[in-house]
Amino acid sequence: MELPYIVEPRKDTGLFNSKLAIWLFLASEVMLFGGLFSGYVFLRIYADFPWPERAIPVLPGLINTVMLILSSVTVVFAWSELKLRNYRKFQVYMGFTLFFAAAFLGFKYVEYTTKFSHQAVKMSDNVVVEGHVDYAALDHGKLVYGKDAKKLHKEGAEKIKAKKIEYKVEEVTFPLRFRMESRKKIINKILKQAKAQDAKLVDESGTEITIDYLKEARKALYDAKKKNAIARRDGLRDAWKVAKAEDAQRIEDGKQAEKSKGWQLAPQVKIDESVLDLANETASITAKFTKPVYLHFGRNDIRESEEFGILRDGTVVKGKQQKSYMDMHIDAVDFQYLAFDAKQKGSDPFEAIEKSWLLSGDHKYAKHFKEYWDKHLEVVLHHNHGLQDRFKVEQNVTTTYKGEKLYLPLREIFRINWQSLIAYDEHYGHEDHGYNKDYSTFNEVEKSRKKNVETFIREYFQAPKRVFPHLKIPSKEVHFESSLTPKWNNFYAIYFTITGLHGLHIIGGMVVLWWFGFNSRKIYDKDPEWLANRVEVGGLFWHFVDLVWIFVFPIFYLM
Amino acid sequence: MADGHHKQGFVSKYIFSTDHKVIGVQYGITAMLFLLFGFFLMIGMRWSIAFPHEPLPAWFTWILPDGWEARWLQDGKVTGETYNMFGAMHGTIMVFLGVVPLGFGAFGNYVTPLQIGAADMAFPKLNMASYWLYLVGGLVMCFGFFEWFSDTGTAKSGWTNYPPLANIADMQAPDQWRTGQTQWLLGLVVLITSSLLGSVNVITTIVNLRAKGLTWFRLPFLVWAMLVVAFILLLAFPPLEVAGIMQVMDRLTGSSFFTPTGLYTSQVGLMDSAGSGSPLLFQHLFWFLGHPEVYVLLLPAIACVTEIIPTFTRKPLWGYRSMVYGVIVLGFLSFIVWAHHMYLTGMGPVISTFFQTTTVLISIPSVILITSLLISLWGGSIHFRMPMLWACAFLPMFGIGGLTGLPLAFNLADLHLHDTYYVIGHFHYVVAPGILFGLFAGIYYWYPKITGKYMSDLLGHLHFWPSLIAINVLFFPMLIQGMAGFHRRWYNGGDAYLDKVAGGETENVFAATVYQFIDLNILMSWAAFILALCQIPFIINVFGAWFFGKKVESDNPWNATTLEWNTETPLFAKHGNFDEEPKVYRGPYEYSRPDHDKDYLPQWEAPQSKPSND
Repeated sequence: MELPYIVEPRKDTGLFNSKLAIWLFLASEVMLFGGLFSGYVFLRIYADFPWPERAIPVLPGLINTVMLILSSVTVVFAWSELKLRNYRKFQVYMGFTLFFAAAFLGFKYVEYTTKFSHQAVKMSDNVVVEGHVDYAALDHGKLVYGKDAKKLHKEGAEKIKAKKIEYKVEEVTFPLRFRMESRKKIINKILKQAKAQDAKLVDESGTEITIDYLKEARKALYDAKKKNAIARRDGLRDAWKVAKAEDAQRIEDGKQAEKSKGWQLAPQVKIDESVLDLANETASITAKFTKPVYLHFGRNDIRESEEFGILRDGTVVKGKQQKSYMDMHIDAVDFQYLAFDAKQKGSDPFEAIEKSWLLSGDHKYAKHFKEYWDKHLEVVLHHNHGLQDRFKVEQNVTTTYKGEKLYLPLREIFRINWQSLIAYDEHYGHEDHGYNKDYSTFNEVEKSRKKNVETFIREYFQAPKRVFPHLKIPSKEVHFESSLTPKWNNFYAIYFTITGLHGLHIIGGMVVLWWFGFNSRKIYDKDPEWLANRVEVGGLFWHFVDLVWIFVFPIFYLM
Repeated sequence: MADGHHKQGFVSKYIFSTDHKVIGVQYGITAMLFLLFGFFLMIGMRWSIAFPHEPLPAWFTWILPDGWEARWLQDGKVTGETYNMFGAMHGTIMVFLGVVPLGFGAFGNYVTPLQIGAADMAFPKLNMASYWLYLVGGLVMCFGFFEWFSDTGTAKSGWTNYPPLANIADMQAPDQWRTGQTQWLLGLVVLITSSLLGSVNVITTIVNLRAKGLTWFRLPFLVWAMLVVAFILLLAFPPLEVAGIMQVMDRLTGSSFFTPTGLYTSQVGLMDSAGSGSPLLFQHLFWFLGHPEVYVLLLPAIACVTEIIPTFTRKPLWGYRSMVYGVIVLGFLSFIVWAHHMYLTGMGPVISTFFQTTTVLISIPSVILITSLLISLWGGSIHFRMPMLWACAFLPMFGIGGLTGLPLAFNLADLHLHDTYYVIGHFHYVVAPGILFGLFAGIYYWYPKITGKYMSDLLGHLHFWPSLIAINVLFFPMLIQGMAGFHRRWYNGGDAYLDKVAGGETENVFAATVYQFIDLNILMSWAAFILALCQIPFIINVFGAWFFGKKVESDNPWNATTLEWNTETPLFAKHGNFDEEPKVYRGPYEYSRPDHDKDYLPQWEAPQSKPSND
């Protein structure tokens, strides 16, 4: 017996096998993406941070939407050409489908990489700045920033992302719990930096610490542990035997009515410790540098303290924490988090902004950002008056500024985005603060903001080259930092998860469609209807992937 | 597929086989090995519960490598962390890698296509992929037992893997890929993919490959059950896959889907994460699968019993149609009861009431199934062969399991019973003496078809009777302890409370209660050890009977009526199953028809005279 209904549909169900299967598979896919979108709803409803809106540029998303729809159309054309037995045309349409899919992925790649290279920092007072991290350089092992770093870079120094924490380390303690294989990266980083500073890490007897040294130390530890574990276990078993025998004896002697319970005997049971090899059971190796060494670590790799730091694998570096910075060019300042927090505390967000480290801290950039904020506030108030004067808006007060009701969305009030920063620079100038408050200047600003949005693609390549304001944040002011990856907040987390899975579906679909279009001639020659069935099924999947995007686009790009 | 009858090599015939029967047997053997391993972990746990101060006995530790003992045991005793590892992996293995693959994987694969008269599954290659993905996923989940794969042992946050506990567990490890907790999630995602492929395959096969004349209401009940199970797997598993993917993201990319704001732990300090995540979201996604999963476990077992009871009572199944409708309703309802696992999360009384209502509703179809089976026994001429013994034991055992669930369904009663040994007792009654007994019945029943040999009755009895007694001694005291308030996750069985008791007199009421019931631990643990011994005759039986068993006399040794008995025996790797296309003339359980000489009338037997007018 052979399997039926591969090509012909079964009469009573009206389906051939794979068509039924793909609908079932799509049902499970609906549940998969349904689960993810419910997750999105849940996360957004319960978010305790200002949920980013319009954080992803709309235009490329729109282009992608159009392209996916087109590819869904061409895949149907391909199928119908196959039904008409035009193999060449079928291949051409399949080619178009694959082209659109590839272009979609291309745009996606650009979107992803812009986000990944974009840094965000939440400071201790909840002010958030976004931008691009500068590079630091090493001067005799010590981190230097800004102009000094640039000079060293020109001389060929290594570029280091300026978001490290620096220690002047004298002593390192390596615990031996984890295998060296998974710690190589961390330990090698320390050893490499020491070597560059002509220092060595040595143990008490003066032997140099290497990975192999640690491996051997760990092996010795675990050999001793093994031996001791067996000795302890056997010792305890014997001790229990003795204790139970004694207990039985006591009953026999009439000193005791019934058998003791385990927990009653337990305190009497002792292991004979003398047989153990405790000397080798040292759980860590402590080593000293021949001279103090500057070591820098990623913020996420170390738990900080003034006098020491603990690395991810438990390694402890002892020494003074140095003053280190996050050196950035800022392309957005976001007070929404601060406003969110102030609202919960019932305090005035504008006062808190004035008092924040960014605007009034003891650093040379404070004045600069204060100016930006003042300009922004002017624009906001101007806008607000416009709303009141022209449209007589009286509802939906979002917040109040010095007793004045504001109607703009909080995002417009508390976030200065890169378009605004550029606009303020262009029209007010860095130096000249006495700008004209009349409508014409205001409209200029608005026009420039709009123009920037409309020409996203040009700006994508230009924006990084613009000189954005510079900011050096001492690492103790940094509360939480991340590039715009899933880590930064749950908006990006769910965005990357859903679009990432969708992207995987696109890639999977491309492989299948390519196979049907360009590697299935044999099946076509054998039975063209069979191939048509396959393409139909593949096309159904492709439509589904398109449909998912139809949900993704408004939810992540527009809402 | 359309490949010819060419000769196959050993590897493609028995290992990377696309034949549903071989795959079914592969599923069965793998699942039983996993069950054995899960059982082994449980023995370690039970030792720790009953004898927390004594080192594990030599008959347990001989299998452990020394390094393992040095890393995970303390003076040969089970530590809390190790107990958690065992507990999490016991649950995972038993549910995901043991019972589901045995019920749905093995019986679903071997029996279903035969009962509908199909040559194979609709997609044989996909079927093979399902099995291998299952094996890979299962092994990945167990990687943590080997130091070479994992720095931190296996997953240790319970089989439910609740965050934020599961999110922060092993967070101190330098390489997140090399932690049992992450590997558990990755294994889970692979495993779910396997189930999805399998369920698509089973549904397509049942809908499209039924033999001529096999209309929907002529399908054996097992096929209906498998259809419902496949739909549950198809639709309920993806949300868990979502939860798995999100948790992997949390662990590997530092997102905070399930990490609340300001989470602080002694191991890592203040979590370096954005926060704002929702641990409750995970619970919803988990139990959206988790509860339907119970029926994925149950239905194959009940299906096996349903096939066996008519055969050994020589009497049609009572209420076939109501059972079919019952199982469909059960499948639907199973999707809207999940939050009864979450009464204590503070969802609010409205939602609790809704889920309480649906939970009580779902007992109706369950009772229909069990009652129909019970009434089917009435007035039958019962042959107590091995499969029938197991099937008969299934009914009361599953009954206890079901009835003890009622107090848990009501959220008021659940306030007291939540997370106690009562819950453990309840679901173990459902799964072990209930479902596993049903599946054992299935193994004894179809074994002659697979191998052409009967399993030994003597060994069967040695397996059955002690198991039945031991398993009740093991699980019934759990209900008592649970009502007394014993918490389900005590690694030392409540021993820590005894310090407060001086000679049984104490003002600490709870300590006094623990003092009163703690000795049951020893009884239960001995029952567990004996239960392990009782499985030895079965293991000997399964492998021994293959070589030394009594040969079957005909292709239909039990004189049953469904299509799988219309094939040659032994039926293992035969391509295409049936020599000629089978035709079906009647329903599946035509036993003892008054108008027929023999006491059974198979589905495939052509009517001799012209059909009567009924």
